[in-house]
Amino acid sequence: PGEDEDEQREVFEFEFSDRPLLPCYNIQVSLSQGPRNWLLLSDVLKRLKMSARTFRATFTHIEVVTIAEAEFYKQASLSQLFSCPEELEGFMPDSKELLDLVEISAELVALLGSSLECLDDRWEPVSRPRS
Amino acid sequence: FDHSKAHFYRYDEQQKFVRCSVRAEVRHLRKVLCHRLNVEKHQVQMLFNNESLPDHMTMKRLWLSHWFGKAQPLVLHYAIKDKRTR
Repeated sequence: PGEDEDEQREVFEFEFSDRPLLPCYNIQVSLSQGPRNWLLLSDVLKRLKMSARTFRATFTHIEVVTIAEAEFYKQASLSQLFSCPEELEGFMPDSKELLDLVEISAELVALLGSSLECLDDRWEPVSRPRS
Repeated sequence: FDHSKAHFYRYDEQQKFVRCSVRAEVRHLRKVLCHRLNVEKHQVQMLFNNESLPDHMTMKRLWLSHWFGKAQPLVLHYAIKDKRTR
């Protein structure tokens, strides 16, 4: 009750794909910013059939961040929506290894062959790149 | 989305995997789908286990109440009512 109208008028993005979407993780990678949506670079590279070196050389503007695997596991498994341990079975909860992440963006979505639809504040479909 | 019955209609959504915010509601998904299928809003019905989903149900609520413990992705269906149906 008493929901704020502004809250109701949030803009939503819908990513459509003809293939199963790569897993996306809502992770806080630094104290200076809140949780954001990330893909594992290894998943992206596999989907694009590209080496890490080529990816970094081609998309120099796409930031790749690293996070300790243990921290990644902790945050992913603490999500309120996490309910299926099998989805993290490839990760080690105590590992000190680093994982490379790339933030999901309109460019990445397009690279992966998905299309993006947005609903504006009047719930009308619009073309709007993901920021 | 399940497309098993799509051949009965002139409509088909080839990109059947969708990612969206957990705050999105059924009505938002329905609206985007209508836009992509080029049909009117009242023609599309969102279903889970053959039951119609309420427009204001969020994806988060749907996940927690109907899909918790299951692997991704959450499977939803849609039905398209013929325009001429009374």
